[in-house]
Amino acid sequence: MVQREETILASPKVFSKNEVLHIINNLPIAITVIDADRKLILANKMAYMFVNKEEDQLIGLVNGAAFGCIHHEDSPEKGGSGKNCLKCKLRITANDTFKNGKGHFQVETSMTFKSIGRRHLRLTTQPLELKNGRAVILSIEDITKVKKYESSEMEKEKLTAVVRTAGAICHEINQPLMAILGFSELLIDDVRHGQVQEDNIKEIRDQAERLAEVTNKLMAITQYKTKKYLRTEILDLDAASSFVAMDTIPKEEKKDGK
Amino acid sequence: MENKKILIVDDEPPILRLLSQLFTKAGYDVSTAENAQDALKIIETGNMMVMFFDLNMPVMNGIELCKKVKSLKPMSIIYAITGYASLFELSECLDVGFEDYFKKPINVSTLLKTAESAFEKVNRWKKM
Repeated sequence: MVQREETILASPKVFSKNEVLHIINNLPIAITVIDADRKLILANKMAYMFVNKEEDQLIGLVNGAAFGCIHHEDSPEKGGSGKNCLKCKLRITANDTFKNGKGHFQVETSMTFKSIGRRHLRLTTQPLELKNGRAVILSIEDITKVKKYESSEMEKEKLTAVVRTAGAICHEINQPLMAILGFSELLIDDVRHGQVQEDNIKEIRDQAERLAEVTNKLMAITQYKTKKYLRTEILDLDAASSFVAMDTIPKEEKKDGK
Repeated sequence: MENKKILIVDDEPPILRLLSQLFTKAGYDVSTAENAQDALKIIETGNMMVMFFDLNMPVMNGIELCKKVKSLKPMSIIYAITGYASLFELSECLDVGFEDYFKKPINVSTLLKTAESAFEKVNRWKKM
């Protein structure tokens, strides 16, 4: 038995279909009322608009058929294996509301409809007692656009982070790389002339060590911190990484110029 | 030698040492600065026409420095060198008066050719 005080329509009286229809008809989201056989007994204007159907194409049909779910023909009631139906959150949510007499709030799911394709939905159910029996009031919010926007925003954020990380890698690696390549060119020229400058060889070694330090820092990134770089921002590798540089060449050796 | 002065501005000492050696070996009179302030002092006192600026420097970056130098010496030929820049910054480089820009690592022969063509331009202008 449904406990009325748990319903959003807690009231000393039992509602008629027309009274419920009067309440739901002008609400801005799709709302239907389903009976114990999962058949639609009421639907507001937004529900018809949601699936581009007329009233007589919805009322009296089970949920899947009424909304034109692509899996409806395969439902267990139709003799199909109904794998998708058994996992269908709309079906599970509505059935649970009937069974336990408790509503569900903003259950998110994706469904594919014959007329409007794949949609992301937010379902809310509430048990309801009508004059001729128990029912479930089901509201359907189409949040496809919101989800697409959220998803594109997340993609943008990810791309920004990737670009900022790439910027830091370019900045940190191209400096020592240029020094290594440049001093190597000078060294090749020096060798040809038999005048090798030891300082230039040490410069190459130091810059190669700097490169190793950059990759160590990259491997030890533990947080996302950025710093200003010209007009944009790049990952602040020193702040983002937990790596602490250790001199591979002892200080005495560097001092002695070895 | 008076006509072949080059100024290199970069906050990376190894890059300054490298470019200084490279251009000195090629016969240029090289001055270096690790920041924009020191660079401006050198520009004010010396007859510099060809310069290479790193873009990302603390306090005043290469783009701002180029703008300043171009207002003081409009005929100077300035090149940008950068470890990383987006297309937006590279187009800004051209807007503020950089002759061209190079992404590190740059081939040393490219730098030498660039300096050579810059001085050819300077000499051509002087004959006008």
